[in-house]
Amino acid sequence: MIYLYGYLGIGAILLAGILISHQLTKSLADDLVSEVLQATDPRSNQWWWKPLNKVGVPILFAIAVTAIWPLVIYWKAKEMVDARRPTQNKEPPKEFAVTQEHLRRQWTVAEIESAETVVDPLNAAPRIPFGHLNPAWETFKPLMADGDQIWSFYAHWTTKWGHHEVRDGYVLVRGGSIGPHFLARCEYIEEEDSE
Amino acid sequence: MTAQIRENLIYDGRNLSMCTEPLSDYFALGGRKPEFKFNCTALWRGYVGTWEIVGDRLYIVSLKGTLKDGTAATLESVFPGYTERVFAHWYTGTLRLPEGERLKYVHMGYSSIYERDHFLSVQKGIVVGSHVRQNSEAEGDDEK
Repeated sequence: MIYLYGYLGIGAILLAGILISHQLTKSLADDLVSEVLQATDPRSNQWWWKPLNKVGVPILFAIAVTAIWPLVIYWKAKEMVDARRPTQNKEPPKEFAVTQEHLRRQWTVAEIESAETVVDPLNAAPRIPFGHLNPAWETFKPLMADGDQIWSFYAHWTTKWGHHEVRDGYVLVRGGSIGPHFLARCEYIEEEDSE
Repeated sequence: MTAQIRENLIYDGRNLSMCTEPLSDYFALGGRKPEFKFNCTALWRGYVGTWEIVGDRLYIVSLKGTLKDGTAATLESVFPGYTERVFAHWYTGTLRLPEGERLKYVHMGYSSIYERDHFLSVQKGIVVGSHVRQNSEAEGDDEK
């Protein structure tokens, strides 16, 4: 019997540690997100929802930790080891690249900046090329060297998640070969649209 | 993946839910992306945005979430200097607004089936068309 008390005692100490750690690390912003989560859950209007979440779940959690604390320690240790382990034998996902077939027509920087300047009547975007994405455009522009051409492109692409997209933007063409690109739009294609 | 909490959309004076994340496109296009804290498996993206259509234009009007440093994420965390609304000029695609009763719960992403789906086609942040699709539970079975 003494062993059982000892076993449960360790579980109780572990539970106390978890609760104290949670109280010390949770922030006001976490409560904000919890409120959002609860407000958007359709079950939150049910009479049983609040007692279940405020009383039932914490009690079940406490019983579970006290009873199977070696498993809790094992899961946590495994999580920490897995997080530190470098990913091996994983083929890196294929990166999107513009090819000759994707090229549309040649532009000048002035033409692009005129065509892509964002104008909003509520002034909810800066009236500059690519609006809120202007910093990305300004980072791209200095990549253009003397003799480079800038072309628009349009490409179909399948992401590493298997989603089909249409991507378009502008790309530098350097001595006939494709250089860096600037992605201006990325449209996810619903399956029913692509069929 | 657990069913995900939807974005909110104010459209024609109604508060609706939206199964599309236009901010994901913004981040994919190189827009400023603060590090959001992951709080819950039902919210992998770490934030919930509220959007509004004014005239034909799509705006994001608020953002709630937590940043990695524990502070609250706001619209200004992504769009410095913009506190009230931001025109979603970067977004081209289709917004999906589920309507009516939920016919079937699917424990993954936005896969649950509702009576209808209202689709809004958006080009560079401007709504250019819409259509409604009537659903049945069987459609969810077809997808499996």
